[in-house]
Amino acid sequence: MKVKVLSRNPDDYVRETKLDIQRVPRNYDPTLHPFEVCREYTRALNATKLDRVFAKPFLTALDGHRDGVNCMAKHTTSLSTLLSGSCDGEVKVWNLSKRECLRTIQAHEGFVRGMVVRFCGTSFFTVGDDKTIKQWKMEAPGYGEAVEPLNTILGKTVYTGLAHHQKEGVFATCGQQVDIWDEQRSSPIRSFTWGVDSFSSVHFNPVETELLASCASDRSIILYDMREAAPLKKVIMTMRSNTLCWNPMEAYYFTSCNEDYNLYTYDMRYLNKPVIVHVDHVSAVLDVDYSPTGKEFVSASFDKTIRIFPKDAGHSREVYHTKRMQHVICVKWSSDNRYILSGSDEMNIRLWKASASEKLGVLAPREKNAANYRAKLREKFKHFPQIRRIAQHRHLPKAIYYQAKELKAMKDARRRKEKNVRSHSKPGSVPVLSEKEKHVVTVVK
Amino acid sequence: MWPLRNLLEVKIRRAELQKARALQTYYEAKARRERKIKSKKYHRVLNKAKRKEFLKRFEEMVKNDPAAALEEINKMELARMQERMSLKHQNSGKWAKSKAIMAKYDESARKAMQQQLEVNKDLTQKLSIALNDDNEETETPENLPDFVNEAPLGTDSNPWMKGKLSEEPAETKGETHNLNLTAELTETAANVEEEESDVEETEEESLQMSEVCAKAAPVEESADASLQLVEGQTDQMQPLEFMELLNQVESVQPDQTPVEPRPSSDQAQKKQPKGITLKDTLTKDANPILVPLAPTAVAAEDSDETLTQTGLIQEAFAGDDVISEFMKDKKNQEDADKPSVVDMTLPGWGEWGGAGLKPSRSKRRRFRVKTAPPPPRKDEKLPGVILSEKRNSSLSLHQVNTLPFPFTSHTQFESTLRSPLGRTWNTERAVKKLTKPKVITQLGTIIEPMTREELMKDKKTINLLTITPHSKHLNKKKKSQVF
Repeated sequence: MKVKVLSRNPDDYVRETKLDIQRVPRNYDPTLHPFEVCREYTRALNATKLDRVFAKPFLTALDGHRDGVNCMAKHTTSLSTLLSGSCDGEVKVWNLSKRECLRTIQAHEGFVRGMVVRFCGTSFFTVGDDKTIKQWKMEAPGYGEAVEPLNTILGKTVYTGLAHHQKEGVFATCGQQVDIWDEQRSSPIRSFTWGVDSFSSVHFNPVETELLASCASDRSIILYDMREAAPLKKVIMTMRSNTLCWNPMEAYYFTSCNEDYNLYTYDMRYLNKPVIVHVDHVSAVLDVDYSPTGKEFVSASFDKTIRIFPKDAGHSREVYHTKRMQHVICVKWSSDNRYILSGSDEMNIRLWKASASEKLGVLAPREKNAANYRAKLREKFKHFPQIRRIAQHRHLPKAIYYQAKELKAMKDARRRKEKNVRSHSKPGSVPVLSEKEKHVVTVVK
Repeated sequence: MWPLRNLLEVKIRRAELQKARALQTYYEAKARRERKIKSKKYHRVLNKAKRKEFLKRFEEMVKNDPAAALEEINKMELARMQERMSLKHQNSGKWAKSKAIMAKYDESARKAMQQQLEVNKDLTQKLSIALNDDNEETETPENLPDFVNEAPLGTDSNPWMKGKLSEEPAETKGETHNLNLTAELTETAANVEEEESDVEETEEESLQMSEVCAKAAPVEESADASLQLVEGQTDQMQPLEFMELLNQVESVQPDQTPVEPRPSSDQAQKKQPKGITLKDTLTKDANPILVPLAPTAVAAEDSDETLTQTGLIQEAFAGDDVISEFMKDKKNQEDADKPSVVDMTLPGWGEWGGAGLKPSRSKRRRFRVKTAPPPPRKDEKLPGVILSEKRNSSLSLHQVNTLPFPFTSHTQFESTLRSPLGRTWNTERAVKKLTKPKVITQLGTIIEPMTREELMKDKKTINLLTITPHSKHLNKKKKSQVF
């Protein structure tokens, strides 16, 4: 008698070792898996909600300074080292992974105005209110040795900013004029002036390494080339810029933070109009730093918040604030793209996660794939109202929330008035100025 | 006129009066003092003693002064009635509620609440006879005959109560049940005759002296020979009603022939309750009416299984006419959508109007506006489908209202949404490629800024900043958008 039986080869469906995962035969026929968009939408919604659930960006606060933290410097070769200078002239070297202070140096009398680590990582420079530039060794002093600067340069005027060249032994300071120094010389090799007697900061372009930019007190940003004798050009704005930061991945873009609560990204070649105006702060923006990938930047403001902006967006994607954090004076984005450091008025340096809901450390491959999938889903469905509503919701302190509302009302009123004036005057007499153009007064070559 | 007394007698009398007054004052002072005592322990002890004394006195009263005992009993009954009406000790008052909150954590609170409930139980228990030791056996629950629990079978009106209450749930066969019934009936008949004699005695006594039950202290019971403290037997033993039952049983006994022979072979009737036939339920001869059933598939009687899924469903929905209901439903929805004729007549305007007056027929005819027929529904061609044309508000919450900024047309936007990203619809490799993040960084490595060599790899982009020393212009040959 013939009996029909099923015959299967176990090799097809049994796993080889118990360490493998089970073999699950999948049928990708779409009729078996209907409602793709709906199911993925629900997953995206859940992913957005989970993102908010796990958004805990604050990691730790480094305590130790005895006065407000005025400036910070990233170590160029070590990720776990941070240098910070405070308003009483102290410089502290921190180990971020152990969250402790390695060394304290009384560097200056008065504020430490600028700090920078040399590209090799073996020494760092500081400038302070006592009109000196000092170079220090990075290693801790041996037993019994007093901490002495490697080199001290005395100047005639107060220096307010410091920047070092990316590859050569050249650094620049600014105070009453912008000076280019060689490390071996004790007097500047070149000085730039352009009618202003007070500069607030100077920065080297990390990509086009010969270029500099500085912010001056006549509300202008001046571009220089190190090899030239005179400044290149300057753009005068409606309000003063505090500082600026070059995009480390784009050669021409820099972002300046302004006293009129905005940040402006300029293309170096076309300074007549900023590329983007970044609006979201409710008080003067004090510091800005780009992410090493060049896709985002972080800004610190006199309102006690830190905001993270995408490089091409007009509004922030994230805001960090704490009750204990007062006016944030300086901010840095760590070189591995994962952490943000903020130094504030109340003598603390805070360590934050750059993406608030990511899991730190090494992820298992499945975890990583799941996280990638969730991120992609969130991005795919970000235009949907429920997802957008959840993704953009951030809690703000009351003062900032009300201030933001007030500013918006003021802005709307101004816009309405302008519109009315234009509609009731001769056509063409009141020109239409875009938001970007409004803030630039003139470009001078 | 007072009777003449000598001084001595007067003195004696005065002393007596004085003594009496003194005693009275002592008594009053003592009572006042005792009233002020708030100590719980003291009161507990006192109450216990009082209860003991009461029991003793009561027993004596029962023997000597039945009238007083009766009064006491009446008092107890009154208390019971009051308790049952007012439900005072049911842990429902303010005190009890506050104690309930504490009860979770506090042992004493819990005890207090329990004590209140016990008080309630005491007050509400029914007073029952237990006079002689001889009658104890008859009145203990174990010796009750089985038919006590059966309902009175006095009337034929409720055919559902004809059969015996099912004792064993595992009973399936009808015949055995029959046999059981008849056997039990004969038994009970015999029992009844035995019990009757004993019970009659007790009946007399109960009639003379209504049921007595002394209040039992929750902790101790003083069991006396004559008086039995009975608690909690009220459910099972209802002596008066018990008597009635017996009488009924005697009377009904001869009527208990209609234990029908059940149709044993029919398996479908297994599910019906036992002992009911159609004949008994129908009061008069009814004409059988032919009811046209909805065409259903022939119920295949599987000899293997009686419980196939389809068979079950058919049986369950045999009475429902699904198709006609569906048609009705669809018609209702269509009619709801169809706008009715709108009556636009206004009273007055060329004729009399007022309260109670209707506009004339011609006018009404003129102003009846026939609205245009609604656009054809999408489910017109589909007879078995109802497509709702209503807008679902819960959906619109989740839908995109305006075209988002970077997209220029609806189809463009929708095409980005159409293709799924997940593992359910794509292979693993495809999923990995689709969900790859735009920027991938290594953990723990420093990301250096862009170098000029990287920029110059793509030879199309010209370095706009090839500035020779002393040149004053920037080369603006090409505007390359690196953004």
